[in-house]
Amino acid sequence: MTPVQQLVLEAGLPGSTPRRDRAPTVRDDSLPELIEWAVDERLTGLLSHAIEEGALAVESDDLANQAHDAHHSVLRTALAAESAAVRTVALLADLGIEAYAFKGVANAHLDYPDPSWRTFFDTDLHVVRSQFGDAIDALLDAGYTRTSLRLGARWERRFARACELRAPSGVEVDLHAEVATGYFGVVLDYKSLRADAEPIVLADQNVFAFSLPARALISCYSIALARGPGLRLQRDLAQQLLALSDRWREVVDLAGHEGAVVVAQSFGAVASMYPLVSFEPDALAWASTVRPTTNGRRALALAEDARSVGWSADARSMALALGPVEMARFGGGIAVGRLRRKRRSWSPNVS
Amino acid sequence: MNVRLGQANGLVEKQFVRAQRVVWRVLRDRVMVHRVDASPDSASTDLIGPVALVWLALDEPASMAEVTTRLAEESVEVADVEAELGRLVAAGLVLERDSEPGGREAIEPLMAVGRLAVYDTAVLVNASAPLVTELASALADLIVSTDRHHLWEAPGHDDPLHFLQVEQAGERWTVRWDGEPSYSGQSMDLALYDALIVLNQHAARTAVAAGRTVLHGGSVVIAGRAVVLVGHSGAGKSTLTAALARKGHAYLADEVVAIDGNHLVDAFHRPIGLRSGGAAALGVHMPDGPYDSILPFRPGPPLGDRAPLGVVVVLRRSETPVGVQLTELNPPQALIELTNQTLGATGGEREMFRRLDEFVRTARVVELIYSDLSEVVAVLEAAAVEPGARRRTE
Repeated sequence: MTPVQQLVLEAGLPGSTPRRDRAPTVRDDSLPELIEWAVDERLTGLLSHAIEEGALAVESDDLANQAHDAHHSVLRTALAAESAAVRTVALLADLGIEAYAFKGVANAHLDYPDPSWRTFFDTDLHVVRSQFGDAIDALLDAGYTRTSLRLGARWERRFARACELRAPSGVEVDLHAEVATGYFGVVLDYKSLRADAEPIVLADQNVFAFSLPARALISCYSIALARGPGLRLQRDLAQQLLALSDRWREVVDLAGHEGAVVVAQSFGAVASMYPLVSFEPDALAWASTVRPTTNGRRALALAEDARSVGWSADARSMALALGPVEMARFGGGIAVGRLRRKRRSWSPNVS
Repeated sequence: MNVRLGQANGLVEKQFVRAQRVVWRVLRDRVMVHRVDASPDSASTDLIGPVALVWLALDEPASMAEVTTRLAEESVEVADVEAELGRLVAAGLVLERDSEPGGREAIEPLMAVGRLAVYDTAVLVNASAPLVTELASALADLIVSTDRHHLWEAPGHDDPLHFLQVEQAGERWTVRWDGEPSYSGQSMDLALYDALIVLNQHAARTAVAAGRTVLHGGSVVIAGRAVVLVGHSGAGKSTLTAALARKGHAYLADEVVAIDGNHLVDAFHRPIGLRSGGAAALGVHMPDGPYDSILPFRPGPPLGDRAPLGVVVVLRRSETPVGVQLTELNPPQALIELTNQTLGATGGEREMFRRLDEFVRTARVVELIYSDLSEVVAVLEAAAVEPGARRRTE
């Protein structure tokens, strides 16, 4: 992390008020790389804000405009993703299926002073496991398409964490039965997670999002289990922790005994990333005392494996949470599904 | 450009409200708006300057006076609130509704059809969903952009921007030009037809204002020269224009043919209006759609650019078999014939006559009487390549 990148990450956070007379100047030849980094990490909003508020100086107005133009372009994609969220939620609601927005669209509107600071390229929606299959079918009927072949219809309804779809507009819509990968996603108390949902009004429609503690918990899982640096996720959690203040224990309660280690790791990661920000000292003190459960430790190790090995490590992590009968169905379904996949040509909507 | 909002028919004072099904963001110098239900390439719009400020002032429904007050309270200066509201209404981003309860039904969300180039003006066309596809198809040869990101940019920085809106509210269709209602009724067919007529009227006004001689007829380019077909209603102007275009001659214009002082004919690629008889004569199928009476027919490529005038042909159709009779008209005869075929500004008749008089002294005008369409095309093709303009007579 370069000092300039750190400044971008801190833009707009309390405790990071810029001193214009001390603002580092980004050289002409390094701005394109910085912009590319910001686009990849979904941080163009913070970069644009950092330049606007004087936390970063650039050598010429033309180059400042390049950064703003990059953000403008990314924001247009975010609005398209937001539109997809609105349409998808409405479609499902017509069928009595409640969908909850989380990550990008939810965090942008609920956790940032200006939703333009937080961009996203896709839409993440959670539905109850019992309605997961029906929700997928409904969206496929409405013209959405799968982006990858599934293993089997029954296996998907019972075990699949999420289904990646593409809306008719071209936007990626990820429908989640579980909001975290592997073991942690299976053991979460989703009923508690969905309680106290907060409405966001988008296009004159109420779109429900998870509550603040639930959003923070999901950020923790995303940071701990992510396959990339997850810089925007860490910024999300920083915003959420500041808003939670002394309510941080609600995040721990939602995580339960098994998930506490993930929350603790994430609290620590964010505190390290943002040394200037005053997070609740009790939260950091608590984080230093947490020890993982046996399954939690194994799941975290598998998550580490998944970063290099991929999906099979996630599957093994999930299996930690299953009883023997369910494990047989889980493993058997994977085997049969793979056999079927080999036998037919790839078609996104084959049921 | 001054867009005046509709105040016709004693309607009660209007309230303005942001369109539903729109998501948006404020960026440092603009408001980015995205329609949820629009097609991906026409969904996004940037509002910049005063129009963005007016949008932001509409966080709750308000009358024009209330919007003005809100802006003043924020110490925000907008020179012409009415004009900016008119732009937003015309673009379908803001809806007008009667402020009294029981007022007319809310307008169906407007979607962008596209930005047209009509001579040196830009026209932004929006319509309620049932007519979007039909209008987009009919106007495809005039559309220069469907990118709403460039909504407010006119072709040249001084070129005026106009708005054509075809809106549905309940059973009622209303066509508005620059905010003023043109047609209001229950026929989608007539709304579509009126929208095309309104566009013609704009083209004619613009051409007249630019000093053109404007004839009511059609035009194609044959052997590098424009052949202009005029005549009374039913003479076959549009049918013959379409027939020649289908033979591969570049289509130039229909309904409005604008000719400058150097006898250059401008392009106006509106769809050719074919009646059922003309469509049948050409073997063009009248598909199901909101055009029982006139089919907006796009002849396809090639589309012509400005071309030097070859000949003006005054068409007459005979009910009895007469073959094809072609007669050169002298200036006085041409003046008489073309007076009825010339479009001019109301109150500008003297100037119109002056231009026409000058025109007929130097342009070649012929009368063509025919009974069978199939015999005419070859004659017209030959007539187009005969010696050009008559010399100026003193």
